Amino acid sequence: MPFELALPDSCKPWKVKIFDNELLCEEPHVTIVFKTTRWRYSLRSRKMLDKQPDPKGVGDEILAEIRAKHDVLCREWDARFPTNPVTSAEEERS
Amino acid sequence: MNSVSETSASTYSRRVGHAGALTPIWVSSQEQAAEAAVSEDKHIVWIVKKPHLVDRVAYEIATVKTYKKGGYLVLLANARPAIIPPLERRFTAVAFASSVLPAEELQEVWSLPDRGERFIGGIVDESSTTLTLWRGNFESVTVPFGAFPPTGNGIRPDFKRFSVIEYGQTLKFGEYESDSEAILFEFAADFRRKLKQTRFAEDQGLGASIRRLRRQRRLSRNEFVNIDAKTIARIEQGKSKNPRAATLETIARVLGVQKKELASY
Repeated sequence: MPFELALPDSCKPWKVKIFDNELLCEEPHVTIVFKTTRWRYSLRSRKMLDKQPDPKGVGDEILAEIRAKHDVLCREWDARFPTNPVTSAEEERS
Repeated sequence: MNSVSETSASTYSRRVGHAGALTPIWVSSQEQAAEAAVSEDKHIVWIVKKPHLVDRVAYEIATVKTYKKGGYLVLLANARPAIIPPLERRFTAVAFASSVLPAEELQEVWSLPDRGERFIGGIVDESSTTLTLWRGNFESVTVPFGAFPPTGNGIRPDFKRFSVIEYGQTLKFGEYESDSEAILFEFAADFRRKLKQTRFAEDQGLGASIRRLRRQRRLSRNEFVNIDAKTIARIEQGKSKNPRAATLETIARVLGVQKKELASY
């Protein structure tokens, strides 16, 4: 079951999700969903991952919710993807 | 402070109204089936659910002898092998699916310029343990069930409960959900090329490709038989400029691709 961050009613129909199968070749992230558009937010750098779609399209309220629940999101990611945990940057250790 | 509704509305409006938009028509009568068989409108997607209406489309094609290519066809009914050739001759593309997006989402996806990066539906084949997915541009990708591994906390896909949701960007198998990009990255070379030109533009070398594929396969550097983890690290970091062919063969084999494909990831 994907993890979906509980958002206040004022944020509907936005969603913030961690899927059960993700693009793991990139750093741990959450996906921000609004209708046909998706953005990705890095759980390591705490920044938006992509230049497109324009990160400014994500409302401050959504980002504030993500930042407030950062620890929960990291735990959920790590539980699903132990080979690519948020807190262990394999490349840096090599 | 950005308003959630304002920003979303502007993003949304920019993406609709694409010039090459396709229009879905759900075929629900014999008359519509006959129309589908002769229409030359290349921007219509005919969606047929009932087997007898699929038969009617095939019959009309044979009767009217229209050879000019029409639009697209999505079959939600089992198509017998005998009627597949006329359908494929008549339509620009034919998709076979057990499940497709809801009607309103299909219409939306077919109006988007990036529809090829979304899935409109698919069909599960439990005998071969594969899933064939149809992209919004009517190209298909067939993937093994193994492309949807269980999560670290034990969540597994239920292939009997397959559906496509969230405008073709999420594949759902009961409680399990997969980001469509994870599948496109592994199985669609054109999607990988696009990612390499955009997101991966600063990390283009063979080593970076190997690292991405290894991570996607959920493998550690210790899982390459006869190759030291430090050697894998040096290759991935571009410090080993000319890895031996045998080493690359082993890496490719462990990662489940051909050696010549490694650099595409």
